[in-house]
Amino acid sequence: MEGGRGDGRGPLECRATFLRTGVVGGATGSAYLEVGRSTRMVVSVWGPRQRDRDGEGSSPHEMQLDCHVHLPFARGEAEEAAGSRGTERERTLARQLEQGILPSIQQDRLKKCCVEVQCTILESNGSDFTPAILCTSFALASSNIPLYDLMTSCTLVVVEGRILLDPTAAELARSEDEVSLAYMPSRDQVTFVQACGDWSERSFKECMDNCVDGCKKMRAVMRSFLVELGEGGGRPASHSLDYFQGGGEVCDQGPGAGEDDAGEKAPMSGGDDDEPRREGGGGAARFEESRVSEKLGNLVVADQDLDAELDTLLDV
Amino acid sequence: MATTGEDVWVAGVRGNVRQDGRENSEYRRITIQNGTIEHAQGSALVQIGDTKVLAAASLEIGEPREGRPKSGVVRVTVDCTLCYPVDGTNWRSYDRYGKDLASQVEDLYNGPRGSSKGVLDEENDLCLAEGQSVWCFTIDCVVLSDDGSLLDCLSLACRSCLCDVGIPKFEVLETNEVGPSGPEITIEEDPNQYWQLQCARVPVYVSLGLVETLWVYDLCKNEENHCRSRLTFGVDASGAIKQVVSGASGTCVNYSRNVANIIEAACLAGRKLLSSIDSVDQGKDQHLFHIGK
Repeated sequence: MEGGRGDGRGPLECRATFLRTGVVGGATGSAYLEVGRSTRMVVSVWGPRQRDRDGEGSSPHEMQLDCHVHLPFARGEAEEAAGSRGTERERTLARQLEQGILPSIQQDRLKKCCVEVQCTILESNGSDFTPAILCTSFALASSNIPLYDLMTSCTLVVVEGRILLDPTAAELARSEDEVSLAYMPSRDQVTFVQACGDWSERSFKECMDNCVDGCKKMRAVMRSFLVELGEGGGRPASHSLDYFQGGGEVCDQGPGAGEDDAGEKAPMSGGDDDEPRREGGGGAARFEESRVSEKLGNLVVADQDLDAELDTLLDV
Repeated sequence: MATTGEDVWVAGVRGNVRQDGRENSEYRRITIQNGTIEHAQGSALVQIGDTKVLAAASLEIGEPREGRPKSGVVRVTVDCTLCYPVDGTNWRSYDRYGKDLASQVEDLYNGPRGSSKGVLDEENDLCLAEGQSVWCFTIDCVVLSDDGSLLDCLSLACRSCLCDVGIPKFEVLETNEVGPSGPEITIEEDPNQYWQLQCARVPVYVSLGLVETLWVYDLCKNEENHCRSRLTFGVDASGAIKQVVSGASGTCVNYSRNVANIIEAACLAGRKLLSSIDSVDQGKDQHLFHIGK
């Protein structure tokens, strides 16, 4: 690997990600996410319920997505010093999360409803936005809320002229340019962009392309975790590997990706050994499994619908 | 069949007609008046159609930000409680909205975290004593009315009032490392000598509404309600992209088909907008923009 990334990753390599559903009992859906063992968060989805008549947001007939972000421990020294900056960060992140995730929900089927998302970031190393989107989308997929697609996300920075995917906090602090995207792969739609830096037209397009490739890789990882859940977790490794190679056209480092995958398995088994946690969500997890496979079915149907829709559009 | 207001609007955009008679690539009338507030060091009243923003810049000597010992500081506040119907406690949400807008414009001026310079530092030397004293600008904006494209109007107002700022010529005579209240500098001031802040490379926002494979410039409020997909680019006079943010309710860009065209459209608009603003004399302050293509 080209050096300089501290953790031995290549420039376009993401950290190993671990996802698990059914961690919050009583919620409609929930998910736990770990990225590279230094970013951890829990997202729970509540509802749909009737929306507040005078709530914030668009007209009272539309669906309302109510996002809350909590950062109980994951505060940098800067925030600690500034005191109130922590809540400012929570609020900004909640707004971004809402913007990013809303287009993936089939809002027409949830009119006048409110879906509540509670995101607790336990530990954070790098961008908060990207893992929050992944985890929320995964939690939504494990609930019964109708979606168009899994929402994926990726952050890219340019440090000393080099493009780096999935930066750590140290890399973020040194970044000259920074782009965060939320992207729905099966619809090929970018639903959220946040970028800051200095680009020409060409170089900005290049950064976007790299970021979208990162999102596509992340989709492969997320789908593999969904499939594991759907299959009851029988042979997780082989499945996730298949999916990873299935998305091979977007995967620059094939063998590297395989190793990555092995890396993901390690925390997975670690999680299973953790008895109390397992017992806590055991019943719920089994219940979720059937839902998830159902959900996967829905997703596939949605894809086909879209294809048909596209075909008719193209014919016209 | 067109049934709702949104459908009508989308059909209009396909036919390159909008409700107020503009084409998709046409801006509303933009008016910039400098010096509207007599006692401010720099001020501007900017109108895009019926969107009106009043901005005033004040100047002081302060400490630089951490990690940027030589660059100036820009702070922005936005008050948008005047332009919305406020009852009960919902002023809070507008208060927050104003803060969000302000932090976004601040980010535009300060650039990404890792860079050592802000936008203003590229052309101006705002450092008095490295690591101790730099020029600090506070831009206070009041939104008088919001009829869409508020960010565009805000960024134009900030840029125009910065262009209006005259900075006294100082000579730093002595720098003491430690004083009773932090570092001290001794300066000689000539009250009649001013230099004008150079703002040619200060970016402005260009907001695009996205409809299928088409894009629309300068949405008015009504159109913003119909158009959920919006993207805002911070673009400078050379067409360089400094910042990109999604619109209020998310953006749906059909990526592989559209993205190159949208980026190109935003850069083109930024270049044209700024070149025509910069080429207009102070006295003649009304222009109408048509981006073309």
